[in-house]
Amino acid sequence: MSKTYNCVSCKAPLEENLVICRVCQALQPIYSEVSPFRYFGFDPQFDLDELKLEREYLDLQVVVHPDKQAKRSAEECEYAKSHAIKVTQAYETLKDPIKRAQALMHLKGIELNLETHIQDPELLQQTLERQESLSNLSSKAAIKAFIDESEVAEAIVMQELSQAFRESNFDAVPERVAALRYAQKLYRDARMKLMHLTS
Amino acid sequence: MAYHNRVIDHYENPRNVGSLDDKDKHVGTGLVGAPACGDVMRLQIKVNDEGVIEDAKFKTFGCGSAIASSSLATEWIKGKSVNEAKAIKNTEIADYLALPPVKMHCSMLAEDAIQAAIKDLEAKK
Amino acid sequence: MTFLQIQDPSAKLPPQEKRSPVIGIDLGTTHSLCTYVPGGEGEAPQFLTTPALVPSVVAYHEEKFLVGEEALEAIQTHGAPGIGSFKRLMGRGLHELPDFLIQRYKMKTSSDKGLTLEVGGQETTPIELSALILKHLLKAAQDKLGEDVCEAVITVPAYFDEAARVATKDAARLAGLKPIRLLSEPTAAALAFGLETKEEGRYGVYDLGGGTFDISVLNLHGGVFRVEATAGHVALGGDDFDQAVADYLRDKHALVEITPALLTAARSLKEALSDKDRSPLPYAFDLPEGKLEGECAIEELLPLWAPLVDRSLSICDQVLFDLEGRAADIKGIILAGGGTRIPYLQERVAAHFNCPVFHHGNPDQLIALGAGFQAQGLSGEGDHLLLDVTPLSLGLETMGGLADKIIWRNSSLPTSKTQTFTTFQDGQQAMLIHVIQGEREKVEHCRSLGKFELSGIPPLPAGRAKVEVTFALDVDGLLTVTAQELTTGTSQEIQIKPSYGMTPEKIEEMILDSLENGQKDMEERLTAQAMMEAKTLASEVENALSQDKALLSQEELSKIEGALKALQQMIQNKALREDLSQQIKVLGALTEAFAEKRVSQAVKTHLSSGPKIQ
Repeated sequence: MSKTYNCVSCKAPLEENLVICRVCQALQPIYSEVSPFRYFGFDPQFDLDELKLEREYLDLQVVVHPDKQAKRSAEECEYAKSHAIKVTQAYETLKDPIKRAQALMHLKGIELNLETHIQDPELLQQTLERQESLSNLSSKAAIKAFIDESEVAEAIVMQELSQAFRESNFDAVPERVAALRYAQKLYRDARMKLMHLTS
Repeated sequence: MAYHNRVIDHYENPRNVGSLDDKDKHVGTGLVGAPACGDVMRLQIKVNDEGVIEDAKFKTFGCGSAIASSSLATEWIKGKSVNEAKAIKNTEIADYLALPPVKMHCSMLAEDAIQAAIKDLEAKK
Repeated sequence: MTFLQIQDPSAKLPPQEKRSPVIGIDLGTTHSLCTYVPGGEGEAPQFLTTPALVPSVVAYHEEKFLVGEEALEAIQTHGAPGIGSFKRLMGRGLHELPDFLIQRYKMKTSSDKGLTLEVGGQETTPIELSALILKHLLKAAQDKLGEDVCEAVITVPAYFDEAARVATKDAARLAGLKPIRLLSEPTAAALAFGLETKEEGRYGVYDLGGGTFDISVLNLHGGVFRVEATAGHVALGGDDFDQAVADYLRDKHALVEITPALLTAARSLKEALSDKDRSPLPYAFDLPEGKLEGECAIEELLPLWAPLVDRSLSICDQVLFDLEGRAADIKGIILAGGGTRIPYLQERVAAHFNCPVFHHGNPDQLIALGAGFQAQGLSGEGDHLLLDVTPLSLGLETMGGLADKIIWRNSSLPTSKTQTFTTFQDGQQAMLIHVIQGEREKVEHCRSLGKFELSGIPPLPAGRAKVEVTFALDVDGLLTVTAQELTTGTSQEIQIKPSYGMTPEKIEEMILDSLENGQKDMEERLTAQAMMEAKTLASEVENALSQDKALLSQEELSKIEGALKALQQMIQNKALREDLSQQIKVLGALTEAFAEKRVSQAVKTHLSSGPKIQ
């Protein structure tokens, strides 16, 4: 990101997030065109420090949450209102690997649209077979084993997606993102099946 | 509303769940997906020498709308000719002018699956 | 079909300048409480009623509605008709309630008031009953903190849906309160725990109140209280445990039915058994239906209670599922609500979560304490931040009667989510947006919140139009839904204010009525106060005269006696408040010097009686 932002109040450069100035504590206006990465002050990359994200999110919530605006000027209250939603949206985008991937591709000028239908035979066939296996399982032990396998499978896809971004192999991204979505669903469906069995 | 009841019915009791032998040259298989919801739909048709769809089976994993729409679609195309199925259109007459929305990725999923099945069949010739 | 209601913008807190105290209220199924936490270091939280727990009971006796302890007494001593646990009726419709309850209180659905019922032949609603309790609490708060108190944080079960929340807010407004926030009960409990102990980490709150059950897991860190997952049941509570004991007594003593008196007996038996000693307890109850005597060991009740605990733990599993990996490091479970005093329940919860389970302070008071802390926080005086979530998914109806979720349960507030939809038919120009709440797949199993139409969609083949629907949920849980067609930009929006049957016109009418009566009530109260002051003064002066009238000159004596007699006349004739106050002043002025003389006299006497051993 080449553009630099400066604090509207003290003019110091905003080196971290674009919500509050670290120097003078003034709330900043919303820059609608910024990516969630820049907004939080994170490098635009797929690999993310999850703990750092959680910390930043909570710190920013303390700054912008509607309940914490009692001592602000009317103008800053208006900024806070918009930031409150944007902080949560940016957090959710960065936290979810698929949304994160979409945001990164957007920065590259590529739109990743998950609503488009795909006909990838290998991915779909594999998913179909896995789902069929799951529907045939009935014992707790078997389902638990399936959950563990699905967790591993999901982790592998995550690694592949991470690698694709690191190697700037953007052609591979859409397919791996779809694969990730199907892997996530298998994991979730398996967990739900176990919960219904044991409740 | 008629369509409403049919969807709920097909969601609760999907018809034509199963599979056909995809090696059979009279069988066309369409496999489509909508990653947004993690939907995967396989729709298979068996066509006789007159070009009429004798049987149709599907397997869908995904959201309720996807399951219902594939069940409805297989029921509709049975007995139709391949050409009629190619031109599959939504012919439900709506009771109201303002209809509830259709999820973007569910829209046309079954239709895409049917087109893919027909294409697969034609490729076998 | 109930339609959307007029928007009700949440109270904007006045900035900085001195504002009147904001109180916390726990409007419980069995008991209600009212607290105040002053700003400033080392200031202890106050419970504003004595005793702190006010029974959530209303009775109709001698042509008026009584509340709390007074109501209980009227019911128990005079057999007055009454009702408790009406929190369970908030926001509910007739079709959701059991027959025996409908019959007992002659419940009906009114065209503009929603659910109505009868108490002592008087028609009322759950909202009005709750308002009576709230008014009682508000009065106590105003007596202690000043007449201008009106803002409150009120707790509700985390699992209360929109209709029940709106009903609670309406009850508050009817009572003359301004509900600035509805706070989830388990969140309130965690807040009180966290602020008092300064503990950090992931904690669960298992909250079993009289009529509702909630389980929430929160992460406490650096003054931020973040709800991570929540689940519950609005019709599972301590009352059900009482009911099980009542069933046991009915069967054991071959009684015909379960009367309110039997339920009270059952509750006291449950409480007596709720301690560590498991030996059989002899009991004797004197009931209208006869004397019940026997022995009960807790082992006999456990099989009756087990299914109830099972249900609560099954709901806990929902939360554990939603937490995924985070479920592994829950440090402890805070127990809230009177229902958690049963040792058997505590053991089972501990076993289920495999971590320590404990009470913090008094489980009946913890939630009210949390409400007080949040009231302090929202006044700008606190240091903490509560990040709460929406407990139930919000979505809309899609073609075919299935539900699509837009905002998933356990989403942090405030939040905004957008999804794109399309048309079903070629040339379709209008779209029906039906907003619903719930976890089920079919719309008919979800709660309807409101509907609107977006028209002006350009005629296109089916599936080509793009309509973006945005759900925006603010920190007070107010939902705004917007639908916009992307090519033309045409859009439509509503703010959701679901109806539980009470029309906005009706509630405004009722609030106006109560304001007028409130004036009258205030007058009555001030008059009663003046009367009491008059009586006290009169008796003190009478007493003083009988002992020390020798200290007065003849002139002083006759003036005082004259003023006293006049005051006594006024008391007898129930004079106007202004006249009473005036005469109190007069008599007070006349007896000032007398009082001083009496004090000097007493000191002299004391000194002359010899030295005191220190």
